[in-house]
Amino acid sequence: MAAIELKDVSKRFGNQTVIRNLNLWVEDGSFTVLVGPSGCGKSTTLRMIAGLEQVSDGEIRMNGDPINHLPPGKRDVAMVFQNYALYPTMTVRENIEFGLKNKKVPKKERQQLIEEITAVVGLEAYLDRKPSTLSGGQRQRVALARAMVKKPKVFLMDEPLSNLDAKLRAQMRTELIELHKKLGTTFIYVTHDQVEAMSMGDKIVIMNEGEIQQATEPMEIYQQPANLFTALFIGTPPMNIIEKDKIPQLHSHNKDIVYVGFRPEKVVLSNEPLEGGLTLPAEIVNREILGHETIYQMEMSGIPFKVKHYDHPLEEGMRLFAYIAYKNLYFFDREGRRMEVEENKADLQTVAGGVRVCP
Amino acid sequence: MSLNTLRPYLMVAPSLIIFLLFFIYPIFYMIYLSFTSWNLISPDKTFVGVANYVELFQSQDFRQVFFNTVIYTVLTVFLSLTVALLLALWLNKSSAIYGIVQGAIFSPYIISLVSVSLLWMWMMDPQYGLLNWVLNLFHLPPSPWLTHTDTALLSLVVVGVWKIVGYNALVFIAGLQSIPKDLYEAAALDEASQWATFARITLPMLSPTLFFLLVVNTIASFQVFDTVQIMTQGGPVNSTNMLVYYIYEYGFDFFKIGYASAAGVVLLVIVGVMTVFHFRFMAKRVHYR
Ligand SMILES: Nc1ncnc2c1ncn2[C@@H]1O[C@H](COP(=O)(O)OP(=O)(O)OP(=O)(O)O)[C@@H](O)[C@H]1O
Ligand SMILES: [Mg+2]
Repeated sequence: MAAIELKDVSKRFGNQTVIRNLNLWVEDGSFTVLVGPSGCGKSTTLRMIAGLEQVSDGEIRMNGDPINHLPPGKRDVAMVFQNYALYPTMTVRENIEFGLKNKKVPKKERQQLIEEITAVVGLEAYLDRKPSTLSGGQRQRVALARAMVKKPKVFLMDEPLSNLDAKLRAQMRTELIELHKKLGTTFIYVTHDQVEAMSMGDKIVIMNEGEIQQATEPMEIYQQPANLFTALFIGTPPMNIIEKDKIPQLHSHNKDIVYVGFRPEKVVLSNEPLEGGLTLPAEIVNREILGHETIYQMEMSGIPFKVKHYDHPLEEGMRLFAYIAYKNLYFFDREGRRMEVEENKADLQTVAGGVRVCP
Repeated sequence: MSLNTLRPYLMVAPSLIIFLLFFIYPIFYMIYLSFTSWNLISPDKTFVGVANYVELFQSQDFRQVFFNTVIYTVLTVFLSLTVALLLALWLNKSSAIYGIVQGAIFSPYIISLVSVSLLWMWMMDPQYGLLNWVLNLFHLPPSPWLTHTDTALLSLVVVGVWKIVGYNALVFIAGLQSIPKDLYEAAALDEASQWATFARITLPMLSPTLFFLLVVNTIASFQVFDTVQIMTQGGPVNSTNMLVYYIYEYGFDFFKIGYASAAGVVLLVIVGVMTVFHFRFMAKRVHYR
């Protein structure tokens, strides 16, 4: 078990800076998820921790000790690759055993470890097969077993589920969460899927263009996004962001507010204006019925926004009032940083999301 | 038969005709000739049954020629593959210098062996040759090279290796580059030593390439001709005489076409058996996907 710390880490490829002054603290025993759009430097960060890439600047520490100079094999980390990177010429047993052999673990102990691990991941029947004869999920398990058998201090996983179909992915997600609970080891997990990040991580690190946008617990990211980027990144559909000047209904003397945001699922649709929040007259222009929920594309004098509800679908073309309680409004400045605006918190009114329409 | 059922046959007909005319017909004609006695000029070919084969298998010369060929092939293939693999491991980097070296070692493969053989003869000259001059420079004893029965065959092996090593290295480099990088990263995380990485990952992953080169090189080396013809004419004392040159000698120097054809059939059978053997037994061991 180990805590990992990245101090002012930068990474350049040629003259392109991919990671800029990254500072990150990964708690011992945590399940930390690095998430962000493609090309934001998640894999690079993970590979620097693994030692597969050298840092250009800064320091990586494990339990306080710098590990920059250590080769990958000496860092006591194990990695699960996106395409598993199983050795195709070796059987499942040999794949799992390879690291142990290199560490000169005695044969008896090796066998015992392999038996133990394969029982955990349920691979007993496949030990003498080549990876090419296994299904995606089974390969995934071999990759996990290969990482687990070394009993590393830190598990690094780079999009390990992205090659699986939706159903298997959900199943493996649960299994990984359970595995983390059982092992209690530090997991650092890379994904570009926000659902995976929210459901698996106890800490989420949102990255964009080589910089950390926000690093905290999942619910806090959802409730307290630090900036426009995280606000838009987490949540489906993403938060509605409207320029403040286009909403005459909103009265505020704070000149710094440039953008106003609210989540589609926090909007109440009603026949008449409600008190204690922002009320926007709008029309349903389109709807997507997904069964358990409906997503409405709404329009208020040319400004589009989305609303999500779990009730019986409403008709297209209906003119309604969209009500958002003040506490569910987010304010951002010109640079996209979120602002705490106290005056609105004062007159909170608790109205749960829902529809108040008499058909 | 309607045109539609005929069409595919018509489409392949041209290549089929060429194939039959230039590949199959000569083979059968050679087999036919091997049962005759003919001097290339006389209009009549006398049928002699298996007499040519009997003579061939009783001939002391043929036995030596056969073993020469085997020794030459084994040495050339082994050395060229080993050296090429080492070169490939060294050259498998993307840098301008390595590109130039790659080009340089490949060039022997595209240069005509006939002209190059003359160059090698000059270099291997015992008195004035470059090679002995170099040996002398390092205070090593001079070698008689092509002029002695002990060293002549080895000298041809040197030229043979030099000729194909660049091609082999290039194919090896292509093979190396098709090995996924993340296997090496996984190995690094598994704390594999350089040797373990090579023995357990690189070499097994290269086995299809190795197998391909083994087949191609063996078949090519078994049919060595140019260097023998130009550099030694099979001498001294038959020590460098090899199958194809032997066939040529009997056919076009001694005009014993029947006998030469019988030797040709033997060569055909040997190469055929080698190919089948390679594919049957070794393909199984390199197949892992
Ligand atoms: N070896 C390399 N040489 C040059 N540039 C690289 C190299 N590896 C990564 N990059 C660049 O670094 C940036 C970040 O890459 P990285 O692989 O970390 O992205 P990512 O966040 O993992 O994206 P994805 O979700 O698509 O995997 C990209 O712009 C990429 O082009
Ligand atoms: Mg990546």
